[in-house]
Amino acid sequence: MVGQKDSFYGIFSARLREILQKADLDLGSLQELRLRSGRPVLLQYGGYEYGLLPDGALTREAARGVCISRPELEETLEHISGYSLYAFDEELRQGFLTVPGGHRIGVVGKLVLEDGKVQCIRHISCMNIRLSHQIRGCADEVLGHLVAGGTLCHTLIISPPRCGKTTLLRDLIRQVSDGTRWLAGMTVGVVDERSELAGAYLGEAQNDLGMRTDVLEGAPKAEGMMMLLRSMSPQVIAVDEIGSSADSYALENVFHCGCRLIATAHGTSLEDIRRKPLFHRMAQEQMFERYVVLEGDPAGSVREILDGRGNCLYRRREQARTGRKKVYTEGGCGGGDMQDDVDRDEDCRDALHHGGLCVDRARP
Amino acid sequence: MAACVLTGLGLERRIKDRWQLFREMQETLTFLEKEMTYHRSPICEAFRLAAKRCRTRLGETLTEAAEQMEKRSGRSFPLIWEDALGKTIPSGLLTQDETQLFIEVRAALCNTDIVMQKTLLEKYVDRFRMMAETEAQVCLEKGGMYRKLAAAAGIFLVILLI
Repeated sequence: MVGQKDSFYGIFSARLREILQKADLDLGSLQELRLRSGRPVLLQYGGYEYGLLPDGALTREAARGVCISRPELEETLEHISGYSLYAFDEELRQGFLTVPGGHRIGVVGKLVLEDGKVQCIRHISCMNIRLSHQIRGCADEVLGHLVAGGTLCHTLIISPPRCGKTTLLRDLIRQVSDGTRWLAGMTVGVVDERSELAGAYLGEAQNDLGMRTDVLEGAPKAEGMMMLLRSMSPQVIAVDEIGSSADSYALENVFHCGCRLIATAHGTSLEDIRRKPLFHRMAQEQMFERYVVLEGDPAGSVREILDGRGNCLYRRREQARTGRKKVYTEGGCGGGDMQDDVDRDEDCRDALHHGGLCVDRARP
Repeated sequence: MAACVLTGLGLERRIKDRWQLFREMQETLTFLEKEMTYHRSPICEAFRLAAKRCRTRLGETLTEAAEQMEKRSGRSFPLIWEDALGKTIPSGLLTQDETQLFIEVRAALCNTDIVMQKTLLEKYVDRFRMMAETEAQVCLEKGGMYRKLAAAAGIFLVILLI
């Protein structure tokens, strides 16, 4: 953990590194760090926004925090890119780059366009450092719901941003690839367009995605899925954040070629997803056999798992009882008509907290 | 006489070394430009590859800088480059202005503005090409002359002593 911290702090300029070392943060709780030229450094830590004081203390009055200067921002960029920003040209055109540990750094500045296409980014003025958290085992209790008749179901993970969908997908990939009590290990092809899943740095995967996983990094999702189908004969294809019209053709190919699909999409509920043009027909034709809906309170909580028809297979409900959070499971609510009021004590189980992800112990 | 000849040869050697260093710097920058543009090699890797092609002390400079960068000690590139130059290039070989120019090349080797980096690399390649051409001319004109003058001075001294 110390080595991990040193490696992470190593990407910052000398002064900021010193302050962060004094702060001695728990990287597991640090979600995001924003650096803006001439503005205070902002941290998303344990779900709250903080500024950073010169002595390393965190403050909720972010305006009092230390500011980062332009040369410091440039020095940080130097370290992030290993003194070779040009080597990240392709990634920078998409607005991000990945550092050791799989952390993703979003950057903004002045875009240089040629024929309407992004050529590069100059004068980078803001950075958003999003920490990658691989939480092994966070999909333990979810995977059972995604298996029917010994086969993995086509699954869509629905979640608003920053609610843990990539973390859950990453662990699902690992478990499906390595094999669990629910499934024998399967060959998984991953299209990792933004290097978030494998967290590859200069081609080397930083996160464990399992022993039977082939990662196609940097490829556009639609093209990547077709390439994997043609070249790697995967049994399962995993892809993060689908939603563009270009993905539609590739998704249909995956559905109809015997492959299983695990994907994620931005949304708050199944109804929300159904309203999107890409998913409307897929939902009608029940192409996805399972929907896992996440929510952000706490981050990474599984709110419900639905089958292709929208029937509830699992639903989480919190109530404050004797000061402890309890999770209630209701199986087979039927037809999407959730009987929230039916709380049975025998179904009540303590929430399991695997890092950020919180699921219950319900059996599928 | 031997001392005079050695002094002349030393002077000629210095001019040759300077010429070779400038020429090699120009070739190295051209090589690095290609590595950066077409292969996207990280700078440490590019430095090591370039160092293998070098025959002068510049190879040691590149290796030293690559080692320092790989340590990931958190030092900024300008410091690493300046240190590497100070450790490997003999102090008497370059004038103060030339030393400063070698130091300033850092802006072309590591820059957070990719467009500027390419422009600077091209500019420095041209600059070192001109310097190498000038030094080659000096070498042709003065190299032989230094050697001959030293030999003549030696002979004169011998005659004087006799």
